[in-house]
Amino acid sequence: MGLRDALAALLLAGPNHGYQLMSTLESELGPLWETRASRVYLTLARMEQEGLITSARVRQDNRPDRRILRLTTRGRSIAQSWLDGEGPADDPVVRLAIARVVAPEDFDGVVAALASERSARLQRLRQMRRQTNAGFQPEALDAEIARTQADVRWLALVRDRSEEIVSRPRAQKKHGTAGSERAG
Amino acid sequence: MELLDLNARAEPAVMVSAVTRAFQSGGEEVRALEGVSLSVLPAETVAITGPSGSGKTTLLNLIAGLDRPTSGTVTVLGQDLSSLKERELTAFRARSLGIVFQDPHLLPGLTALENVIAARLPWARRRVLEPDARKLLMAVGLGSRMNHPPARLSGGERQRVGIARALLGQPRLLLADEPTGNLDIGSTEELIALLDELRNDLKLTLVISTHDPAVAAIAHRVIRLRGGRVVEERSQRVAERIDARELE
Repeated sequence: MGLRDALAALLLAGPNHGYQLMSTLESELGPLWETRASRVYLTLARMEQEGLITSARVRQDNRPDRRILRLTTRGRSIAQSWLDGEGPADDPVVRLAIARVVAPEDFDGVVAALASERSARLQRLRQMRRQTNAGFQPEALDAEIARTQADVRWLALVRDRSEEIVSRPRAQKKHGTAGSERAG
Repeated sequence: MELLDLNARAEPAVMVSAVTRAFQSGGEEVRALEGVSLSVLPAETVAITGPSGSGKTTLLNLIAGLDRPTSGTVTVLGQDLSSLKERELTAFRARSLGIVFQDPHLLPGLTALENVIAARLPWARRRVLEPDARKLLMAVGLGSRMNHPPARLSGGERQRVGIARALLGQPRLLLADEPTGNLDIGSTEELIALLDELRNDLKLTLVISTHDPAVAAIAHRVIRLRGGRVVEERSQRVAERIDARELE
């Protein structure tokens, strides 16, 4: 999963701090979200080095300082492109979870873009499948075809339920489930 | 990946305008289709999707001239179907359309080859049809099964005979109504691959109805029906032909 792209896309909703970004992903995806907090902060640090985000320290009374993260122009462009469906949809679940939060009005469009990308990929895999009969390639392609078919069928179901999905309230994160490492 | 480069000025192969099809059921009028309009361009593949009972088969039957609309018009390959009498419609279908059904309804007493030929016998002689029928059975991968009766063919093979039969006479338009509906996963994939190859090689216009989004992925455009109405229409990116070397 492109953690960098996912974190950048979450910041499209406005400046935020790392702990809140992680909490949002946790509460939206529940048990499927298994990324360690240390990986999130490492990714955010790299994003800052790459000039995708800037950070500003904010003092808090009786609590550790927070770093408020903000997208740069370049970061915003990358985040928007990812959300709009450019590039491989390596994890449609995460992309749609984030679209639901940061751009509910465009949710249908994101689903349609993903469905189109998956359909084109399915066609491409089917063409490849017809052209190979060597080694384990047919079976490897069959496996990928089956996975892509599942995505296409699942996206059709999501599209059918999109209105309900967008209006569903956010899950409340249970206290203390974000891992032991707190936001810096 | 690119969208099909369709010439917007090309005359549509299929034009359905404000079509309603109503049936009487238990003294009440049931509208299987209501106010449906769509067009399909030459060499385009359009998938008609939607849940069971959404009107897919009714729509395909109207395009095939197997049924007539209660109101609205259906024009196929430039021909307004409402202007044709039954006998003219039958001749038009035989000359211009290929139709693939969910169940190919092969005649059990005939071989695969004879089944392909039989449907067109009223319009051409067997010796004229046979060379093309053989070529088509080869093209659908049944070169070694031409003389088998349907009972000795698998479900996927029977459906491929149905496709060869539909393509005899070189129709420009192929209509397929849930062609994979009775097939297992493996046969479904083989059939989709075959349809994809044929429509490209023969420059066919293809209208395919399916409830399965993975089958609809073959299409340039997807039209979704619900309750007899068009609720969504969207274009899909189409994979370019790839080179086998990409796999190395």
